[in-house]
Amino acid sequence: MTLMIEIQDLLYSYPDGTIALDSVDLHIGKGEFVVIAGRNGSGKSSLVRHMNALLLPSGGCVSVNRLCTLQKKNHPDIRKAIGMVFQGPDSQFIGMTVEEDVAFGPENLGLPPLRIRELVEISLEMMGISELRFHSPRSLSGGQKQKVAIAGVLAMEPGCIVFDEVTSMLDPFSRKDVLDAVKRIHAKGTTVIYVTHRLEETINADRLVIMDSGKVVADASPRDVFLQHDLEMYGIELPPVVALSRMLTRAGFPGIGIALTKDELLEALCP
Amino acid sequence: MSIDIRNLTFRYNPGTPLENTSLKDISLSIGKGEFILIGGEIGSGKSTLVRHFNGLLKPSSGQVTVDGMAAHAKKVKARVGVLFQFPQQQLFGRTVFEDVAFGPRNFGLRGNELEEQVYSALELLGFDKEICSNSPFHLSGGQMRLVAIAGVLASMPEYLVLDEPFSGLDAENRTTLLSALKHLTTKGTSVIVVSHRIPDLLSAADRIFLLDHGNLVFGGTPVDYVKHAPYLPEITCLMKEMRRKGFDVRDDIFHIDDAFSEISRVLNTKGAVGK
Amino acid sequence: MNNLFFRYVPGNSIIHRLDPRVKIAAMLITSISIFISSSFREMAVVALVFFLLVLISSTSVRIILGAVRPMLMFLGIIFILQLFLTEGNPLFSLMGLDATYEGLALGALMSMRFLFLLMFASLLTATTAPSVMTTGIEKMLRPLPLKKLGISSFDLATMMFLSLHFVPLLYGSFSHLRDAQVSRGLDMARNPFKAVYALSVPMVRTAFTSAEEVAVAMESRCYQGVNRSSLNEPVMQKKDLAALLIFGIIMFFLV
Ligand SMILES: Nc1ncnc2c1ncn2[C@@H]1O[C@H](COP(=O)(O)OP(=O)(O)OP(=O)(O)O)[C@@H](O)[C@H]1O
Ligand SMILES: Nc1ncnc2c1ncn2[C@@H]1O[C@H](COP(=O)(O)OP(=O)(O)OP(=O)(O)O)[C@@H](O)[C@H]1O
Ligand SMILES: [Mg+2]
Ligand SMILES: [Mg+2]
Repeated sequence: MTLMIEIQDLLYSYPDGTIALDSVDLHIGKGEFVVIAGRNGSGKSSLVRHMNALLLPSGGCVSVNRLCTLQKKNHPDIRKAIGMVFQGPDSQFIGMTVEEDVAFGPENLGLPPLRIRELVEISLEMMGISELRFHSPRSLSGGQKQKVAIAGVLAMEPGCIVFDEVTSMLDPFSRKDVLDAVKRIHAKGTTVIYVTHRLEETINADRLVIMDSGKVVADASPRDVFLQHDLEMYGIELPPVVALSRMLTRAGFPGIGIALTKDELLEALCP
Repeated sequence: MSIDIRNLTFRYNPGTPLENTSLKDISLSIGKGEFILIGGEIGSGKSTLVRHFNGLLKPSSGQVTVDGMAAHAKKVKARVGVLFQFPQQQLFGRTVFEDVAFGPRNFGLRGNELEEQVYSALELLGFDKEICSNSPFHLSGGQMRLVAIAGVLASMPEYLVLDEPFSGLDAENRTTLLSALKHLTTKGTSVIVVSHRIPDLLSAADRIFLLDHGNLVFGGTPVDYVKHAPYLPEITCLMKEMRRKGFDVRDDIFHIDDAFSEISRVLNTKGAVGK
Repeated sequence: MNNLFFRYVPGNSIIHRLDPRVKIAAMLITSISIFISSSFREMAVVALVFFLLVLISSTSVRIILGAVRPMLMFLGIIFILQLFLTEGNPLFSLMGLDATYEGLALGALMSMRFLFLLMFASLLTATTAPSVMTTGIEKMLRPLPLKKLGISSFDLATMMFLSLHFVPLLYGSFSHLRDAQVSRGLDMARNPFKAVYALSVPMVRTAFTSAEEVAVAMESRCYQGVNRSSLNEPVMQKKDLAALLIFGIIMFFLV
């Protein structure tokens, strides 16, 4: 697998001295679906902000497609390769209507108008917000804003998209829309990096990375992480089904193991 | 003593092409010490409703009263504390202390008493005193939300209205906040929480209201909720499906411990029969 | 909450569909005519043209009012200054100052000029999507030798667009801030000085933070100030040019 993002021995401290990241090593291949989880303040946002050069390492090195983020001349290419949806979407709007905001990225890429129109339509459709196109992003509800922010990045069709807690303000149906969209772009070959506090969203991921106090403390497939680590220690709650299956296994019921989904658990309980 | 909403209708931008009726003929009432959840799809009008509780928005028609006073009356502001959906909007102080102290100071608290109240609000949410001198803008997303919540708690309102307080919080902070809120209800504070995580919060709630496109479509207890609601906790779904497959389990369960004991019970009896 | 301030209202009238460059040029012509018009007769003509345009574009009166209302105080000040500070036949006097007939006329005319400027501008913004406007401005600037000054026409147009964008953005953060403060017991009526302080200090900070956040958002979406394209690339058609010509001639002869 070709490497997309290469993080070596990354150290980052904010200007006020807070050490947010401490010797982080992380290699992410093209087309991977990586979930990052960890307690509040563990450094998730700081880490992903390094991936498109919004933060630059205090020590160590971050490179994207072999381009080091420390060199300023690489920034345009890095940002073209990596799209980012921020936590708390309220201030990331640039357009005055939803449609214009979604078009902003593709416009910057210098694409022809017809192609932009097409990309805008597709991403609005994917997020199910086509009917909001003429609204001002500022007069939308919290969840609608979050969907607009996602559509704006989808429209740029970057090779890799970072989602920083994007489903935190969505209802279960909209969350499913977003997860489906994520699955779809991942199936088309996009690298996905997905920060979340809800591990039930990670079941389809290739890798689950757990952070704690600025360090990576676990990095394996979700099932292995659930099996090998005591995630409560890192302030993380297991998905209800996983927790239930683990309780049953620990109570001595055979043949259950760690079930990731409801159907898996049902299968184990009533074969 | 209660918040009463009678036939509330609200329109944004009335009389323009951008007119949007976000609440339609809503009536409900919330008593002292109740723990209320408000849910519904995105854009269903929850935040708009919240802004009526302390009179920030005035009904296009209908009335909102708090303890018998109109909601936009000045005295109401001290009784109803509101946390908005995006915490960054609520924060403004130079330091965390200043930010949290803003509310109680406005309501007349000074000196030691003020300090005590600020510290106890921060402590309730699991912060050290050290954080007080930090800038609230240099915190992680979840920490910002907690500080914003502390800012509302510190004024000790009688009605505490929180718009999506749990989003962005990790499991530990969620538990801390939830038990802090439950503790407040035992002291007579009414807690009103808007959330998309109703399934996870059912065990704490007294009553639940659901909005859909500006209409109130459900109002009832957690047990009613599990019977009727459109989206159910994963655990409840699991129990329902087990029941469908012929297991004799209760299907009105939403707590993981109950599910565990229920499943162990049937597995044990099944095992016994098998032998 | 007043979020109608210079809002774009999507529509499908001839005016909505005109090339943005035509509309901007027409706006320039109109502003000049408004400023050289010096009698109420000419103002009446301007008013007539305005109402015709409003009718054609079927813009809601509330949108226009939304732009005018916040500026009313400013207009009032202009009027009062002119009323009292113009020499002429005394009308009445107040606190040692004489209001004059000439002042009344001049004040009315001056405030009407600003009023119409505002109203025409709000008509322009109500019928032209901001991005279309930016593209229009950018295209009009492109022939200028800006390169020599070290900026691109894209930069300039985006700067204008951002300042257009920043007004509602700041207004938005202001109303959120006000809501948050009022909810936490700020009493604007009883304690106006404290209110100004409690709102202005954080407002300045918010303005900086939002500027920074907008910059980060733009950067991470690949904004580089060069070679942008546009969702709605305007194409100047014969009928657009004809419309401009007709409008120019009408304004020229009427005023
Ligand atoms: N601008 C800043 N200046 C100083 N310190 C900061 C700044 N932003 C974050 N920090 C600190 O850096 C640490 C990591 O923050 P980060 O935002 O990366 O956490 P996170 O894992 O994204 O948390 P959350 O789940 O709450 O969003 C925290 O201790 C936080 O207080
Ligand atoms: N300032 C505003 N101006 C015009 N329309 C608005 C404004 N704020 C919200 N709306 C609209 O009113 C409706 C209800 O919005 P509201 O913010 O109350 O939803 P919500 O239930 O809180 O949703 P969410 O869960 O996404 O926060 C939405 O359709 C929204 O687009
Ligand atoms: Mg974060
Ligand atoms: Mg909301």
